[in-house]
Amino acid sequence: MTDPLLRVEHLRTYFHSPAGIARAVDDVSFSIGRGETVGVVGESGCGKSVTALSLLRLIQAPGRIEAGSHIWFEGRDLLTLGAEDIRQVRGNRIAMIFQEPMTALNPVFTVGDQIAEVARVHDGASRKAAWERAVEMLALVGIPSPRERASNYPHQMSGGMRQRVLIAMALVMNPALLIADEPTTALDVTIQAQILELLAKVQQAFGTAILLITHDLGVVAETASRVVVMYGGQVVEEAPVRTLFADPGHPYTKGLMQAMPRVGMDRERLTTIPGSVPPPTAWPTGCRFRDRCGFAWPRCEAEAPALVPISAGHAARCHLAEVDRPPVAAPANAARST
Amino acid sequence: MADTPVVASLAIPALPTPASSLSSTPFSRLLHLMWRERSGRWALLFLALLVAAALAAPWLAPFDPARPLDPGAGAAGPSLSHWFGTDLTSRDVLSRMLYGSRVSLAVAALAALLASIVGLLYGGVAGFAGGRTDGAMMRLIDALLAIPRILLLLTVLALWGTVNVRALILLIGLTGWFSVARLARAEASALREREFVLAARALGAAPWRVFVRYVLPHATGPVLVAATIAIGQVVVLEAGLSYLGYGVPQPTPTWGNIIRDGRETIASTWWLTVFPGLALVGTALAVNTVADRLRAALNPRQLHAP
Repeated sequence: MTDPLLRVEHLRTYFHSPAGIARAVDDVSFSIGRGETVGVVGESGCGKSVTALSLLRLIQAPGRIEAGSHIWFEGRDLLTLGAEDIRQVRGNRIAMIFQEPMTALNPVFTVGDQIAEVARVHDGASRKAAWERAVEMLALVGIPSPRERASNYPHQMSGGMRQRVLIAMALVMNPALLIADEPTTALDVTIQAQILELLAKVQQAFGTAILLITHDLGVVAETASRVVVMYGGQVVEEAPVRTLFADPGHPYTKGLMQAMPRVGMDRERLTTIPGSVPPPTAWPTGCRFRDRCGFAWPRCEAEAPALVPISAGHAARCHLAEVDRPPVAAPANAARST
Repeated sequence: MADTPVVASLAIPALPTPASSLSSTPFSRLLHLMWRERSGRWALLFLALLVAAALAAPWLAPFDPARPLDPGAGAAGPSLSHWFGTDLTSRDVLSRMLYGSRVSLAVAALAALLASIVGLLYGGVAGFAGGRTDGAMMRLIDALLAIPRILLLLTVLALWGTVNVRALILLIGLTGWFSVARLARAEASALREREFVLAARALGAAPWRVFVRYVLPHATGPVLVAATIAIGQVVVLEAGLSYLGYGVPQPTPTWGNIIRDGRETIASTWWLTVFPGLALVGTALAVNTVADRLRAALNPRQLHAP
């Protein structure tokens, strides 16, 4: 990975409100290579969607990307581009698909019209040529009888088909990077598998890099080659997908895995992570996960852990990862007397 | 750009195609939904007849609306030759009402249209822009809404002296868009948060494009209802102004003018008040009923039902 397609450096996106500053994304760095699939995992409220929106500068007031952040993409820092230039990137070099295929389409236009619009915006294609492209894109994403379907309205389609339409819209300009924000969450399981399969095929055919945002480790295991785990607006662990599942370095990652049902689990109760994500206006001092961590010790409150490398491509933001990885057997709740 | 050869290789097990046969246009669907209710049917029929009568006035009117038939004869009550009687200068009231409906309806429709367009654009821009722009634009509306419309109109008209019909349409239209703007602003403001607007921006659509393709079409439904209600209001408003002598100048007949003609002899010439009055009430009622049905029909759930 000498020349990554996208390199995010020290990204901080804060929301300024009378109630305080919500540090939704707080110093996040990661990168994506060409044609690579990177999964971003975390609970609701961990900052993964805000990260995705920040990449395309779609954060609206009172949100703001703070100075010192950098988003390097194809040799340019997206944060320095003017309004017109960033529009040229959106939908053209970087496209995005959303969680709710029900609401991400405009109900008053046909799907063909909406796909064609992308070509008209970025290519200046004629109405007719753009429509032909729309039909072609619908065929590409596996919509049967695309010519007829193109003149359907979104409400005439099922959720899975609508997600295909959104993927078609995203792919019109053959972007280098596709950001998929929970693309399968709103779909039922069989459709989920089809959509993931479609994304994988798209990637193979066009070499599109995919940033897959999800709370579902199963989806990540199936599709991503590298995983970024987020918690409290920070990256808490980053690893190749195999390494992550074999040897999770952060207690939060472990918690997520234990909360995931597995085939062959025999009447065993799923473990949950106690508590919930604290509000981004009041992250705990020190380690942001310490209140919910079974291994927390006084140092976790006194000192914020850094993202420390564990092995090649594997890093975790935990004091336990630094100290030569002691066996993390005994829940250190006893040590939490302060 | 997408190469065509991979198309086949990417095809994924086809989904079953649900049969769909929604071929009708949104407009005919709307009409159909309004027609389903009896009240909507009566109102639509009434308005259709009224508009047809107004359009066909030159052929339907039995007499010249402006010519005194029997100078010096004075007003005469309804009779077989003059169904709605004649007025003080011996003009046929039915003919005057038919011709008057053209003016009254045209003023109402055009003024309401003007108010709706201005209101839709103003409110749409305010809601879409949000933030401080929105605040400033809406405070102006609040201020304008605080002045009673009739007072505003009478002041301008009194200062102006006589106005022709075109100026009257302009004046009524330009004092009627404030509430429409509020409505459009609410719609646009809610839309800004909708995911498909975000999706459009994520695909690189410029703000004007988002405004034209997303905000305007979605605000149009409620504004259409407001515009319909406005037509009913303006019919009555214009009649009121004409009655007070500030509306359409004499001798052009409008419903309000006919009532004005009979205002001093109302005890003896009831037909000069009752027939135009009934036309006014009927029109206002029918227009409001249509607006009500329209509101129900525009409910997305009803509109999208097969």
